[in-house]
Amino acid sequence: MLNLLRMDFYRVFRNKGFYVCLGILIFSNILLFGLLYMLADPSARQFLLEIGGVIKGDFSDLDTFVSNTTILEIYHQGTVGAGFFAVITGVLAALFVCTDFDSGFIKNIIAAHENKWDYILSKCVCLCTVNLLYLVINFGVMLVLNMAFKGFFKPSKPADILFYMLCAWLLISAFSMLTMLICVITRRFAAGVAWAICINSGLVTVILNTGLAIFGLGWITDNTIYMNLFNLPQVFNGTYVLRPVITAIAFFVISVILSKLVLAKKDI
Amino acid sequence: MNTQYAVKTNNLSKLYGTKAAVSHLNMEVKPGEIYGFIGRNGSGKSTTLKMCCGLVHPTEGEISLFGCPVTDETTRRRVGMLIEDPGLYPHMNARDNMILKAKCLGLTDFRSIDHILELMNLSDTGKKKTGQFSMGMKQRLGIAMALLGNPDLLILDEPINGLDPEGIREVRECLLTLNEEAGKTIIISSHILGELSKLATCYGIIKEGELIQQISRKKLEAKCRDYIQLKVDNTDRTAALLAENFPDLHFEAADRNQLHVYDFADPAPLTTLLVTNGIQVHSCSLHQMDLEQYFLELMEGGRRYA
Repeated sequence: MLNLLRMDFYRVFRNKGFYVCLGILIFSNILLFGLLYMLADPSARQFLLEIGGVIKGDFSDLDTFVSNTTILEIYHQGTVGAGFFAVITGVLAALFVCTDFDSGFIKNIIAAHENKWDYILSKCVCLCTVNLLYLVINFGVMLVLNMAFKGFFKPSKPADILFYMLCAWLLISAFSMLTMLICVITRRFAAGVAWAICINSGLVTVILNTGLAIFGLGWITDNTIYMNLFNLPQVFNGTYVLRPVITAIAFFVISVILSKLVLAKKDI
Repeated sequence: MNTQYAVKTNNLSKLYGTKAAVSHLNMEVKPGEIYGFIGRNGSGKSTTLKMCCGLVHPTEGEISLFGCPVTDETTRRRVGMLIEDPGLYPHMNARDNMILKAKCLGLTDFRSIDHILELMNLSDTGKKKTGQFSMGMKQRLGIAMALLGNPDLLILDEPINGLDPEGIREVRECLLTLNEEAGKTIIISSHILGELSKLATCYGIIKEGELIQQISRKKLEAKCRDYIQLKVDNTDRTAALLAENFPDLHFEAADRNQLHVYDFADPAPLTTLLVTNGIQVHSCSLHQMDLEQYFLELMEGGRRYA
């Protein structure tokens, strides 16, 4: 497995897609931070109005919002909680896994590695590492921006950050594993990317939730990865919220096991 | 460990639904051989080779590589393969693809990569992405990747597809060198039978999933030997006359009215002799057969030659 992991790391860091996806996420976070700053900072708001901008609403709300909002909450509201982060990492996972099948390189891999766990676990570790890097780098960018703007948003406590990062990492990695499963089953770029967009963005979950709520079964979707990511608490208050962790681990483990079974069952 | 055979399959079968892609195939490839695997499109060549590489699970039967089951990972490392298309990441260059394969095999010394790229005339491709490679370049890189890890057995499915005549010659010379100097066993399938006949020391002919014949090059050459085909009214009298007048002549009766005369270039003395002795000669022709004709006749005749 370690040989394949070395191969996957070499490949992922030489892949333009890795840097493009990272760039998109960083750009989105900078854009979000910039917009919030423009709206919330009085001098920036004034500048916006002077150059012809139109702002509707009560400014005092914004001031209260800024003074009560932590940088972690901004990070969550921006790319992570809305599912954009998961869509980007899902698309990257789909491209990463499907390229093996599409290019035929999988033949080289499977011919040398009879144990299919080698392949699945290597992809699993590689994608989880990418997700962690993305989360940390993007949050780092937010912290740097906040510092550059003299702590515009309230800083978060290290315990809150660690708790949030762990939960978000597990949930986003669970999404990646689900995408990997779809790619192993279908072996098609289009299917993997479509899955990443429709599922990871919460589109399907929201539709399902609406439908199930009619019958009073809306609670079912509370156990989905998306809902847990959407409702992920940004404050660690000592009482563990285990639902996101358990949901993430359950989806993660099931997806990995199914991926292995499918890969072992299907011919190359 | 039984290493009498580099590859040995025992009743190997692969069913897709109810259709047998490969049926009870018993292939035997000895170490050091170049095994030419011949068959029509869809006859089961690629499926067989994929099973030998562990890419496809057999429905029935066994495969052993150097005396070990194909599932043995250590033995699998002794196999280099190029099946159908060379599996290359299109957005990477040739060297990166080689490095990835080397890492996949667990190699840490990448010096052999440059040597192999040079061997396959790909050392000057630089940063060019393999997606922009010509078909021939891709095939050569596929062979180069199969050579990584210094495998004892090379399984090459249509390796000269898309190569120009010069490329074909280079690949042929390279494979011959690998076989003769490094003692590598090679299984090669190709539709270019003329080219295959310049390489193979043994042939396996597959038809509709069944291996209808395995034959050594020597035996095939003997079968494909040129001969004069005589159609006469009486083969017994003809044979007696030939034996009397040409004691060193090698001939055999193909049927009641047909004789095959070997190693005799000029048919004129034969016909003169027969006619002057009152034998009716219906036809006299020179029969020449190469691997292609042999293969085509075998495909039409099924097990006739088996």
